[in-house]
Amino acid sequence: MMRAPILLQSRERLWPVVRERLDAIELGLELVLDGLDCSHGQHGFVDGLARDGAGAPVLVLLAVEGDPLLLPRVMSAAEFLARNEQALVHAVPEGNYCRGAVARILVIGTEAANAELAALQRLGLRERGLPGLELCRLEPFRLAGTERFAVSWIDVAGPAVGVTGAPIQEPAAPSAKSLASPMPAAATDDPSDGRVAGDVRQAKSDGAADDGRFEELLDHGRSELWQLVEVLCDRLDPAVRIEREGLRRRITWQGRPLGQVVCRDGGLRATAASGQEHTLLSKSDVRVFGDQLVRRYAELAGLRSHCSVAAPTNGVAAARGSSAGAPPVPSSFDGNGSTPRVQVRNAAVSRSQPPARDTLRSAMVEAMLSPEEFAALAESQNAAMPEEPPG
Amino acid sequence: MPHREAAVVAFASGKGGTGKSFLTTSLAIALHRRGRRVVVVDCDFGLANAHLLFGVKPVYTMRNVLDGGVTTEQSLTATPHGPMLLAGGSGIASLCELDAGHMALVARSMQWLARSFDVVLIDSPAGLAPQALLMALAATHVVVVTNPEIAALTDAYALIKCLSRQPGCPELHLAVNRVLEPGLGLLTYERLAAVSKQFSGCSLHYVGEIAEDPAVTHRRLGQEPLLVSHPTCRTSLAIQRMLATMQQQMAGLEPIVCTGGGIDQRMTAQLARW
Ligand SMILES: Nc1ncnc2c1ncn2[C@@H]1O[C@H](COP(=O)(O)OP(=O)(O)O)[C@@H](O)[C@H]1O
Ligand SMILES: [Mg+2]
Repeated sequence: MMRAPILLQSRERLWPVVRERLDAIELGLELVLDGLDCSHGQHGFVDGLARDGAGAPVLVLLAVEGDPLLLPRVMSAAEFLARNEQALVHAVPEGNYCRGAVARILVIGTEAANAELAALQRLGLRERGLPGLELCRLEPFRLAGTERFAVSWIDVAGPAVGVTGAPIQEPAAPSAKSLASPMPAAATDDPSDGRVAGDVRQAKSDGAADDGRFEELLDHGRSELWQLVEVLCDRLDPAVRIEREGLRRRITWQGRPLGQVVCRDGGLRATAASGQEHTLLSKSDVRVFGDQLVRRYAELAGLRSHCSVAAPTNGVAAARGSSAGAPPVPSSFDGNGSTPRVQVRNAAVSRSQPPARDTLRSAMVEAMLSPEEFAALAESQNAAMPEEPPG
Repeated sequence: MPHREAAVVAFASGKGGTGKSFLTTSLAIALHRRGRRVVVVDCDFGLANAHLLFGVKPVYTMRNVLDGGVTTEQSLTATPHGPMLLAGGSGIASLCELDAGHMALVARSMQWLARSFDVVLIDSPAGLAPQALLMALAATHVVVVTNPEIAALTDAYALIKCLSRQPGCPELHLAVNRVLEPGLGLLTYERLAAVSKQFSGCSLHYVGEIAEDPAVTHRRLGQEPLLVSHPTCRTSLAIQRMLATMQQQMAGLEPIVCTGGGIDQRMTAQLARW
């Protein structure tokens, strides 16, 4: 039996799916309004006006197969931005845009629209003046019976990436995040079996268009804090990687997430694998976040089981022998916490965390002597030195 | 893969100045004389002084390792009396405040050391800071060094109580230093062991006492260690006896065969609880 692809090629079917999933395509991207007409007529149609994590306007256009108007639409959008970029802050107050944030155009297509995307890519490469044009392609696939889609970014500033026929880049392994965030049922486009679809992000290549924006958007102080995080990751293990992905930096160890840092409105928002969030404002915030990264790293290295051997006084043998790897617990930062599946995962994570009191720091508190213990030691002192006056 | 790893003994104390560095360096020299490849790791990051007791001027310290400037091997200083030393970064305030990332690096250094030497002696940081607990919990044996005074005793007990409650806690041993009259060490041990048993349910092993010796206190910088200059004096003999007792209690201080993870994994496991 043939299954209909989840992303049907008509704009009417594709847009409802995409508008719900902008945040999965680029972290922090949210739709402000549908259907912007920027030049009075069919050439001026933009599918949606969005706001990115940095507070900048983003004109979102869909690329569908055989759309002869795509190119003129993109050109119109670019001209519109050139004229009105800063005016949008006032003209669209519901966008809550940041003054000075650089607007851009994001074109989203599927594999069926490869020819259109390729044409746009050539245009982007030729027309260096085209402000902030970005292209990405969604590729649907099935995983464990559910529909997913991979997002691959098409380089408009360098050589072609995966726009001609078969993908050039291997789809990245599904991240814990994408597996843990099934697509909302309303957005599924596969009514035949009612299964939900999620997405898999393909990390942008280092040279991709907006990857440098993360660093650019940080002021001096934040930039220093981010460098501290980088140093910390560097120290931890050579296998710890920082994956660059738009305004997000995912910190992974052997492909497993340890945490992530997102640049939002010029600030740094860090999320540990446990889901705990920190706004990084000072070195001590970085230190707290760093401690959680290390803790997660230690857990993933399969070492928590070692610690869970309760051996008050003679734990050497028991503890030394156990190095069996605890199964890695998928984490679910920025997953949609409202679905039961995600909650189960979160519960699993919190179970694998030491209880709040079970840390080396909490152990220090427990070391406080009780009056009875103190008395017993002092008594022994007096017994050991009977000549000393009792005190 | 089973592999061989050094016995790792951490010398710890609840409070500073009980004689950890003196004991660590003296026992290291004694062990070297028994033909063992020994390394002393000065982890008393705030008040590192093992290099002074060995009479060496290290080019590199733990700080250089943590900065990534040198490898663990390059950071070692040979001492004139045999043992190798990984010096602590003395007087470097930032090192007092090590974070978990630093400790992950220390763990990798420790792994290299444990695989390259027969015995690793750790001069632990004093007190109950997380890094002190971490070093002690990663060792194969812990020697708590105390003095007979009540202040040292209560701090030693706090450390013992705290360590004994941690998962994966190694065997705990007690050395009593600076005793004013013979036998006071044993008495101190008996009381501390009784309180530890009664209130914390843990056992302590007694490794011996060292008398208060003005020759130790009044040694000048650059003078040879007592064990070298006066190998048969009362204190040197007590050190030798202590080493013999430790060897009895600690499986000869022979390297152990690790079937699972070694010291780096033990440290990393504890790091998960940072
Ligand atoms: N048995 C002893 N007799 C006399 N003085 C001692 C003895 N052991 C240590 N000391 C002195 O006590 C002080 C602290 O010793 P040290 O080994 O540096 O302690 P720690 O490393 O625990 O801080 C030093 O001045 C040392 O010379
Ligand atoms: Mg010392």
